[in-house]
Amino acid sequence: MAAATRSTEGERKGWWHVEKLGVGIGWRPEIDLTVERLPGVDFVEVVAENLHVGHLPESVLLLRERGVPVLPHAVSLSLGGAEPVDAHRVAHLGALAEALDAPLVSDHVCFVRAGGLDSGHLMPLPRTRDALDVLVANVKAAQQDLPVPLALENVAALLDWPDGELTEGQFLAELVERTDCHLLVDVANLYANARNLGTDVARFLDEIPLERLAYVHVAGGEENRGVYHDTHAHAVLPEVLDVLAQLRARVDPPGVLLERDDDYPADAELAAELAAIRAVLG
Amino acid sequence: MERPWGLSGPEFLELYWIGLAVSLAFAIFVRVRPRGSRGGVPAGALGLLDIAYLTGGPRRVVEASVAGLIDSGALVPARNGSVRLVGTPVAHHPVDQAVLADAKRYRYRTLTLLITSVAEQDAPRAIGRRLSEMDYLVDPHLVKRRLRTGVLPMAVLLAVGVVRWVNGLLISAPVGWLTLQLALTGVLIWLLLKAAPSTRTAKGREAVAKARAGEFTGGWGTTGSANAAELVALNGFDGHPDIVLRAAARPPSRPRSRPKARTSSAGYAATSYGATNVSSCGGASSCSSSSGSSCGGGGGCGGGGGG
Repeated sequence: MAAATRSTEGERKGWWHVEKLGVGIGWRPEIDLTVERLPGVDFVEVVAENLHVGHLPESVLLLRERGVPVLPHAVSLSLGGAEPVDAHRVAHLGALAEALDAPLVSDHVCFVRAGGLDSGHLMPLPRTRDALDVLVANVKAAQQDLPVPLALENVAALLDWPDGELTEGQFLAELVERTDCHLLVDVANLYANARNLGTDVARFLDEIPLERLAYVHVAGGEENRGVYHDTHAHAVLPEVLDVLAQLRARVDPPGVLLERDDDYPADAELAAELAAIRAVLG
Repeated sequence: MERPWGLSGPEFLELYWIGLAVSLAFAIFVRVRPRGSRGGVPAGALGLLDIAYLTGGPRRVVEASVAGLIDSGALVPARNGSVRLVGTPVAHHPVDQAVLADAKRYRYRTLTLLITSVAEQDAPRAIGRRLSEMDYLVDPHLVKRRLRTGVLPMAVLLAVGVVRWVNGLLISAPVGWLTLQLALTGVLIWLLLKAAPSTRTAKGREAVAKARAGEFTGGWGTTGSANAAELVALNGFDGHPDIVLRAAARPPSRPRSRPKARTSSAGYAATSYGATNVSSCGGASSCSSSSGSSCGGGGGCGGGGGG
């Protein structure tokens, strides 16, 4: 699948642009039939760590046979970690991309382990130049072993590390500039950071290189004791769609994907959320 | 040649055959007689789950209930043969309530286990009791009593034959044919007691026939016009129009050979990276989903941080 093409501008920078993906939903085994049967699902995303290359789920293969792009989304590369990237994890992600004929793969701008311990969470990075150097080195190392472009996603954080030298938008922009990676913008995470940490949504969107946008994540969440939690287990808030609208006002994203990971609602409810996303995209 | 009880061996064998035939005819008559009840079946007298019970007993009732709840969206199936409860649906029929309660207890409930479990509960069996009261089914206790009554003459015949057989051994008479007769009698008794007769009355059979012809609802069982629950009520889950659901409701077949030890290191979910069971955010990762899915819950991909 050649979903990444060079544009004139991109050619100058050696960049590849992602072709139109449309509106999609995260494929999960619990909702495999739902995803297969929802109308208007243009692409899906699978959690890379959950799939075995040699034993791909029947449902995923069926979607591929229908021509639906299936994008592997990793959560364990720990690209922002101080330790070198685990080559086996990168190899698995690459093999999955090839098995699924995926146009790109993705992970997060975060670290998930240190000193042999797994955090169980996507931990935010200190936005310092030193941390950026480490991230850039790891991303470049991963890119060398990946057969397709890599997109990186902003995470939701409950804290900002002290002594940050860059805004999140600047941090991501410099990451893209130095690694040629794509961006996967999670507007729910952006909304969570705006609510919990005071991130300026407009500034974030102004600072990131939107021409490198691969696709967008949308998810639901809830507020608990004054803190917004991006649970992926609740309905998408109108405020998150507002952030998507702000992004849409700046760029026509190649794709937008709804993430739902727990407390799965009725199929009609998921269809309504996809329709709401489409309505925002116009 | 000795003639115990005034009968030669061949004469006794002949009489035994006659006795066996008569007792078999009696047993069959007694089995069939309870089904002789007749009567008109008024339209609308029976609902979908009643028909399901008449066609397949409590298990079929639960299958029809599950199919209806899937139709309504209260239960959503997955390819792995499980169903999940959506929201907090309200059901009015006790069987539907039992199905929903079972599904709620397990979050992702294997369909075959759900059906088996609920079929053993009182709610579907209560339908059978009601149908007995309405004369669509023969009372199971009456059926058992009739079964025992039906085989009684055969059991007496067997007892007589055993006495003759023992006596034959004592006087060194040939007992080969008699042994065969006794064995055959034992097998017949076992079969007659074991094989449950159809407990539908003639009225019950008529109701099922009408349901299959679509006379109750104008649609049941007729091609293209019946919904999934109706088709399942008449034919079980094998009659469900959705082939994926048909497969999901089938109990998994036993593997014929032991699975080979896997040597591949391809997957990460449950292999060397210490993933927490089936969580998507494998091993080292990010998201503390409690669902077996990718990212969410209170954690990694969300609130706290995540993707």
